Order: sequence, then C-alpha cells, then structure tokens
Amino acid sequence: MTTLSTNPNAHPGRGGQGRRWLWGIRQFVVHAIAQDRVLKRIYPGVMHLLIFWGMTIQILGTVLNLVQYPLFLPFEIPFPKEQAYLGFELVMDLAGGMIILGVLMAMFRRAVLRPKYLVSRWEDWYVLVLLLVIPILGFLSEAVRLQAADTAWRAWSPIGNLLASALAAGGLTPTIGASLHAYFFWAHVSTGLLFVASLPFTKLRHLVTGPLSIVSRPKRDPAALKAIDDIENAETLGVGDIGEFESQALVSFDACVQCGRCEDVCPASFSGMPYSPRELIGSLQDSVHTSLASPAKGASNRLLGGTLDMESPWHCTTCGACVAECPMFIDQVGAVVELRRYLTLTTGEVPGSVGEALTQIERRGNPWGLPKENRSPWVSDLGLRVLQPGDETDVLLFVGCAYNYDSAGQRAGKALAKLLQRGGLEFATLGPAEVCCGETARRLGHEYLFQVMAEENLAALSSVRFERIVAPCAHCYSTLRNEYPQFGAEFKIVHHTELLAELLDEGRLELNGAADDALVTYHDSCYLGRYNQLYDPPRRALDSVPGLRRVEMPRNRANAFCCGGGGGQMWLETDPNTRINHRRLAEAFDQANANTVITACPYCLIMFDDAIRSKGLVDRTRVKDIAELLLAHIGDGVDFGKPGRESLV
Amino acid sequence: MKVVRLAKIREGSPLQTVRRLLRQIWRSANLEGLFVTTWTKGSPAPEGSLLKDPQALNQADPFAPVMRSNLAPSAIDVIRRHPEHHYGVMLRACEMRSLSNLAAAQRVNLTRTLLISMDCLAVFPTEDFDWLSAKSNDKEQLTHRALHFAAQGGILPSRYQRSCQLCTRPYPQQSDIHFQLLGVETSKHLLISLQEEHLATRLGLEGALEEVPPEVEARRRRVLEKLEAWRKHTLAYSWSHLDESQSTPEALLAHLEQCSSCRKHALGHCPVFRHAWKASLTSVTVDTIRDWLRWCAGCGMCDFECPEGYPLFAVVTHLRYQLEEGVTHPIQT
Repeated sequence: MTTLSTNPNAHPGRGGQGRRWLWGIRQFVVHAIAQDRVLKRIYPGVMHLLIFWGMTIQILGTVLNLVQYPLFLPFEIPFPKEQAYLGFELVMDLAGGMIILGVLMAMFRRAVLRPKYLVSRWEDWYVLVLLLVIPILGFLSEAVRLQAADTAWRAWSPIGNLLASALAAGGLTPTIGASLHAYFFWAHVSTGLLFVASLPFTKLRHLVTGPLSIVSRPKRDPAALKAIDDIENAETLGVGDIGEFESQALVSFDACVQCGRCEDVCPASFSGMPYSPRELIGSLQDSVHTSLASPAKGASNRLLGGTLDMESPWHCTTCGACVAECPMFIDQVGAVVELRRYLTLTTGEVPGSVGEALTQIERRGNPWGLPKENRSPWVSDLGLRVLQPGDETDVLLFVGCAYNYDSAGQRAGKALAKLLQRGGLEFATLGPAEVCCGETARRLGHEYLFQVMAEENLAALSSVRFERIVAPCAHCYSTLRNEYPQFGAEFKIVHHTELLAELLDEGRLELNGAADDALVTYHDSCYLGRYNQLYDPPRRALDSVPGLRRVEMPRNRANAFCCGGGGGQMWLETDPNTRINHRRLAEAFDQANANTVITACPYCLIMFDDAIRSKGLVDRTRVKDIAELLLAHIGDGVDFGKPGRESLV
Repeated sequence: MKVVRLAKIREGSPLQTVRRLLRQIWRSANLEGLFVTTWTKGSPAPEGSLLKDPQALNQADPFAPVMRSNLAPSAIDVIRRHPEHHYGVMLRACEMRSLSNLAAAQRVNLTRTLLISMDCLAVFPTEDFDWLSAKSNDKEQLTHRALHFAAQGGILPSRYQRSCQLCTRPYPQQSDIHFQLLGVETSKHLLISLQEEHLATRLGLEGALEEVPPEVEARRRRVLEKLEAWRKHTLAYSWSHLDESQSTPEALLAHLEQCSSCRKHALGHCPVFRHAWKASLTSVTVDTIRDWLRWCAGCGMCDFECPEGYPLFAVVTHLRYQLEEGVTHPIQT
C-alpha cells in the first residue's frame, strides 16, 4: 500500500509562504506589541494595556537613566536634556500612574468581579503586589526628593509633586524627607530587581515566552491539522509524553498565563463537561516544568492516565474558539488531536463509541456505517449525472456523507440539487467513487485512515475534469480546501452558500416573498466561519429573500458558539446534562427569539434537529438548511410549511 | 553468544526479503522441511504447513496478522513423528513459548530442529481479518501493513485481538534465529538475532548481514520500552476489573468445574490445557490449574465469550503473572 507523501510547500489559498521572518516581524508588532487579541476584551484589555505600556516606558526610561552614569558608557548621552528632560519626567510620571491604575483594576477584577473563568494562584497576587509596590516606592522616593531639592520644574512630575505636597501637608519636613530618600530609593531599586529575578519563576515568564510563541508558531492555517509525515516510519504517533510535543508547542504552553479566555468561549466547558482548555494547557505547562526538573522518561511521565484524565481529550469539539481567542496563539485543538492520536493509534485505549465510529468509517467508508446502496437516493430521483473516469463537468458536487446517508441531510441535499438545476448550472457527482473525506477520522486521531481516504478521493478526483468543486458539508469543504493540499491537491473549491449567493447575485434564481411567520437566525458553522471566514455569503443569500425577517444570535460570526457536533463529537456518547446543542438551541430560541434556525452545515442541521426533538420543541421551532429555505421561496419548490407540519423524522 | 545483525531490504518488501533469507537458510542448513504459516489455494487465511520444497516459500506468510489456532501442537506433532528429519519451525512469540513448554511436557527432543521466530506484530480477531482481507485483491496486504507499522510498535492496537493488546512478551528469547521487527524501520532493514555467532556462517548468511548501527538499536529499545509500558498499563486496567471469584487459582478451578462451555473451549483451543487436565483426570486439584498456568504461553486462544460472562483469558493471564513473578500487579514489577 502506498501512502501519501505530504507536500510541505502546499498551503491553502490564503496567504502563501512569503518570507518567514517578515511575517514573524508582522506577528510580533500586531500580536505582541499592539496585542490586538488582548484588547478584544475591554476591561482586561485596558488593564493589561496600562500595565504593559506603563512598565515598558518605565523600563526604557530607567535604562536611559542608568546609561547616564559614566560608569556604563565612555561618552555622554545627549538625551534627555533641557526641554526634553521635562517631557521625559512627565512621561515617566504618567507611566508610573498607568501601572498603578492597571494593577488596581486587576486587583479589583480578581477580588471583586471574579469572572468565572479566572483562577487566582499565589503567583497572580505576588506579581500584582510587586507591580504595585515598585511604582509606589518610586513615587515616594521622587516625592521626598522633590521636597528636599524643591526644583523649579517639579510640576512636570505631577504625581510625585502631588504626593510631595501631601507629605508636606502631613508634616514631613524636607530634612526628614532627605534622610528618608535613601531608604525609599533603595527599596524601589530592590523591588525592581526582584521583578527581574521573578521573571523565570512566575507567570512573568510570558514577557519572553509570549512573543516567542507568537513569532515561532507555524504559518499553517489553523483550519489544517498538522499531518503526520511519513506515517509508516514515524517513531511516535501522537503524543504520550510531554517531550514528544514539538519544541514550538512546548514554548507556547509555557507562555500560558491562565487568563481563561479559552475556557470562557469553550462550548465543552460552558456546557459543564469535565474539560477546560485552560486546565489542559495549564497541566501541560506543569508537565513541561516537571520534565525539565527530572527529565527521566518512561511510564511515570505519561500524560494521559498520568497527569491528564484519559477522557479529557474526547470532550473537545475542535470548534477552534479557544484557538481564535488565545492572545498567546497556543494551539489547544492541535494539542488535543495529538493526544487523541496517541490513544487511537498507539495505545488503543479509546472510548467504545470512538472505536465504533472509526470502525464504521473504515468498514463502510462513512461514519453512518450504512452500505453504499443507501447513499443519496435523490441523485437518481433528480436524474443527476454521475461522472465516469475521463468525464468532464463545470461544477463537481462533492456530496459528503451527511447529505448521502442522513435523512435530514438527504432532504437538504435534494433541495440544493434542485436549486443548482434551477440556476442552470452544469454539475455532476462522483457517485460511488466518492468516499468520506476523512475529517471525522482525522479529528478522532486516526491520521492513517484519513490519509487513506484522502488518497482514495484524490484518485477519484484526478480521474475526472471539472472547473470547481462545491462541497455543501462544512467539514468536507474545510478539509478539501485546507487539508487536501497537504497531499498535493490543487483545485478550486466553494461552499454551497457561496455558490447560491453567486447565483442570486447574478439573478439566476428568482425568489418569492416570504409569506410565513418565520423569524430566522443563521447559525455560523465553526468550519465555515471561524476556520474559513465565510460569514457573508449565507447572510447575503438569506437577505435576498424578499421580506424574510432575520435576527442574529448574541454570539455570531467569529464568536459563534459550536453546535456540539464537530471533532467527532456527533458520534460520541455524551452526558445528557451537558449537551452543547441544547445550549445553542436555547440561545437561538430564548435569547434571539427566532423560530427557525438556518444552518449551512449538515452536522449543525443534525445537532439542532436532535436538540429540538429531545427538548420537545417540534411545534415551536424548526431547523432548515439554507438550501431548503431558498427552495421554499422558489415558485414551484416544496412547501416550506408551518412549524411542526412536516415530519422531522 | 547471542549476536544481532542487520539485513537490508532489497526486494522492495520486507516479506520478500524474509523469504529470500529463509531460502538461504534452508539450503545452507540442509533442511528437509520448514513448518511455517503459508497461503494455500482456496483458503481465506494462511495456515501452518510443512513445506518440503524451498520454492514453496513464495507462499509463506509468517507475519500475517491472524491466528486461527496455536500452531505449536501441530509443529510438535511433525517433529515427534519424524525425529530423524532435520526440520525448521517458524512460529510467532507465543507459539514458540508453547512449543518449548509442550516439548518439555511431552519429552520431545528439539535439538535437531532449527527454531526460527519473529517479533509478533499482533493479530486481528479472525472475523476482522476476514472482512479486512475480503476488501482487498492482494491477500498479503494486511501483512504488508502490519510490517509497515512495526516501526512504531504497531498501529491501532484497539483493533488487535484482546490477548495481543495485553501481551508484554511479543519478542521471543528461545529460538535459534529471530527476526526483530518492532521498533525497526522495516521498509529499510530488518534485524536478525542469532543464538550463536557461528550460526551466521553455518546458515550462509554472513554475506547478507551487517553490523547494527547504534541509532537503529537505540530506536528499537525505545519503542520496546514504550510498548511494554503501555501494555502493562492496559493489563493493570483489565485486572482492576476482576473480582474475587476471578483472582485465585481455586476460583478458576471452581469455575471450570461448573462451566462446561469454558472447559470445552479450553480443551479445544488451549495447546496445553488438555495435557494438564487429562493428566490428573482422576482428581483435578488446584495443582492441575497451577501446572496449566505454568505452561501457559499467553497465546490468547482461550479468549471467548463465556455465557456466564467469565473473563477466562484475563483471569488466566492474571494468575500466570502471579505465579511467575510472585506479584499480583504488573505495575509493581
């Protein structure tokens, strides 16, 4: 059996390789200096901004002050002198004030606001107290100096001056002040040095490891998992010991300061599953430190079943919310998949339902475990063309398992095919030559099966000719677009929402006005939105239905909340009390008050359908694929129906 | 003194290389026959056969990941019936252990027999092997796949037969020639361990063998360590589910006396149970069980779905360990 050789130069559409170092500098400026991701949240963003810039200015200013001593440099530095010195004093004074303000905000947040995702360890308080004491001692030292020297430019140090006046009002004489100055000054210097000494031992480490993690991260798009190169000769498959992570990943774990943003956006954590990306990375960071202290390898150092719970990697939906949120650019999903690979490929200690799903994909070529005869009856119903080797078509419809085998998916697939026929497109399918794209297998850790399926699909795709592929399943779409290029695939691929929006823009589909009571909300699939930035085409298509009322859920677009079906979760047994799809349905139904959820991914469709049925809301709400909704607004299309009229079975 | 040598893969597949080496050994050692797992016409899986002609080695497939029965009893029969012949026997690790246990029990002399073995790459349950191989036109495909993934100590262990998932001894010690595969990049080379250095000359192999580079040896060592660590972990996990009626030889005896399914299964499938049980037919005691366990090679043929839900294989393995090591838990070793 041959396996695919990975193509290291292949990179999905966006970006391209470019110069690595130029890219690195840009990352450094945008994410490490400007800290755009930290600023995404107002309160902690401003808080961090104040401390970061306050400290940066103070450290640079102190260095400038130090080099003024002839002790360090053989010549005199011309800055800051005269007028510039006054400005320098003012800036330094304000910077000190910024630190104190920022630290007080942080203390207030930790002590009073206490967001659920924020944990406080000793080092968090240690660092805050240290960062508070250093500028206070600095100001005290400045105040007694100003009082004793009483210079003409003391007003240029407003905070120090104010403090000096207060001390004077409190009865401090310049003589006593002058004698105190030495104590304050040296205490300020000592705590400053303590800050430097604390860098490697506390979360202050992130001053170094954070930018390192940001600039060293792989240019690979987060939508593409790292391929196991030369899978048959690799010594290890997945990660069982912390040392088996790549050094870049280890640096990124070390950069984690437990800010908790990942946990705040994680659907598994939110739904009450025993999993938090913050805890996972925290535990991996501990392992990094432990293995540094005692590098002995072996069973005692194992991650899963040792420092990590065996079940922990199986709760992640790979929705990528944590990855998109992390200011340090830690790849939590990548780490989870590496752990899964270890369990699936190396030790075999996988939950029964994972093994079952993988067996079905392997045996039947689809995760539904249905025989090929059950696939997409609508292809023959509608008389669609099935390509034979050597055939040619304009658009190749890569149907995907969900539209082939699932009953809800089959309805949506049929609607899509009717729309494409309506729009006058020349399109065809691969028929039985198409197998599962392998996305589920890959995200369950079975890299080998994924590579085998990719190879099979690529062989089928290269036997026919086409202009572009339309993949209506978000998972197929993202995999074909971002991951197949790792194996040399080069083709143009669009999602059906893009194609439908295109047909509508060109006026090739005419829609009737909405006559029903539908109040729709569009649910962003993770694999369309966050992973591929496809936010507008589906909304544009929906808004082209005359009179259709559409609302947004509180969490939408890049912040959308997962349906709970990704990363193989659809096939795993979950605790009925922690179902992610129930939370998302509640958001659509209770918070956005919509009665119709529109999806553009069959996994989302099935997860919502499941939630609606298990919560007994069939009479009051419904879920439809965007193709079904559009077809209902085409003259002779199927009746969209009132809620509950159409059987959801 | 035992030596390990490296053989380069020249024929494109490690299986072809092994066949070539076996032919070479056959000629140089003047073998009159070789007992080895071989594909025969019309059979869905390879079976143990006594080959009389080195050309027939083209169909030999000693690494096929399936084990319908333990071949040691058939091999012993061949040797016992023809004590004057100079035969070779090629078996997987557990079968090789069974062979020497059976030879000791039945007083069969193995000195004229050339014992060849290999690292066991684990086997699939028979029905899984059947549907996997039915999917492919190439009957050797599963063998090639198993060999490909030997470098990592195997892939997808959750698919293996349960006994293989729990096997901590897939590399045999007692054979004359031993093909080392685990932790070895079998697309490039194989390692061959010889019981005595002079065997290389006697078997005409010195031209084909090279010194083993230290990094190849180190890699194998690392992979074996890891393999042992996680298999022991799996063992400990499986034993943590045994209750009191499943953790003493007395309890095992009691179950075998009252459960005819387990007794019949063990009589029919275990290569040594019959000898232990029949030898003391008049009065079966705990000592009978202890004898049986002492001879157990861990081949897993006793694993089956007991109608009473008794985990026969897990119990046998657990008790064997207890007896051998004097410990109750593999992690403590």
